[in-house]
Amino acid sequence: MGAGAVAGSLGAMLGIGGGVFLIPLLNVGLGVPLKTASGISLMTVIATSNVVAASAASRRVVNARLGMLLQVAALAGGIAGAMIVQRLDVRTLSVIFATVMAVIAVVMLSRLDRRNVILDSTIDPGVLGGRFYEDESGREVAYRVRRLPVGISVSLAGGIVSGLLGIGGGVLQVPALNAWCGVPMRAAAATSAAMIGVTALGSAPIYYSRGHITAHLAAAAVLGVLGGSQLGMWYAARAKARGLKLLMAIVLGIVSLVYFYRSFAA
Amino acid sequence: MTAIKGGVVLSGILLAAGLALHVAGNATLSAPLLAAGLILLMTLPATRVVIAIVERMRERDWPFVLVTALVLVELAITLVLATRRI
Repeated sequence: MGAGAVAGSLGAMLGIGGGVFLIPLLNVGLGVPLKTASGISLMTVIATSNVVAASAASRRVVNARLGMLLQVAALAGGIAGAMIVQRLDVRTLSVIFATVMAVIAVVMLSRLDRRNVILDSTIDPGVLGGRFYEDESGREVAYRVRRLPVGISVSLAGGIVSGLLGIGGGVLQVPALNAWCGVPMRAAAATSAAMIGVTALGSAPIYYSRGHITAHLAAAAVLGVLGGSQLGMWYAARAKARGLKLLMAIVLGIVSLVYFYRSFAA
Repeated sequence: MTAIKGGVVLSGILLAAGLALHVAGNATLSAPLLAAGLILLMTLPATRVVIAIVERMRERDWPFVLVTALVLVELAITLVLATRRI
């Protein structure tokens, strides 16, 4: 439960979900097999996604249509990932995990100073775009969705990663939607947070039926992440994210190196 | 969305009770509670998709009714894959 709480608060603070921290904590720290750690992480992804989706604050910024369209691709990826992982050996999986961790660390580093792009509220957002009231600027902002095929491709990739490793696809999706598809950061984060639970549901039953979700550990992790994410959201509203992102990029870099070492030295 | 909030709270209670019994060493009681909590948790995202399809139908937004239905079909495929043990 402690691992879940730590992972949950860190994940919520950085808006990337707790899985990237929970999996190494369970696997390296507590000696839980990697596939089981991933299965447990999927349950925590479902839990956090439900909480975010049900909150009134995020429902105002979630882009339901864009989210559901991307969901078709993300879910297909999630199902494929969960089926592929059943055929992979631990060493291959470790290499994939290490690579993805390294990519996330680089993405975080590249986005240290990235800010929200605020657009004119008078534009027509089109079928897929959206508008929401933004507190910071004190007015309604609107946006159009650009480069939809890129968003769909990244969602598919995010879904595969989610199904393979049990981490939410948000780490890939949020930066991509924000940087390439013109979706404001808050809308991208909320839409992705609502989606990742459904994506994880494409994989979780497959892990569950094959015995990769140890019930009592999953329960402890879910409760820990639920508590931790509250703490993390409270803190995130107050803290400066830059130093935290830098620190976490370093932590993820180390995690990545540990997994590379484990898969090649074994 | 009140249903989702209620579901999260209920699954939290089931998991907490199951975990407490597990720690206390009562496996016969803890196992069904933990399973119920986890399965309830898994039904919630699917419920959200069903709610979304109803919302789109109310708005008579047929293209997105279709998109949301596609997501439901994918979830059904997952269930088949999970139970069939291919």
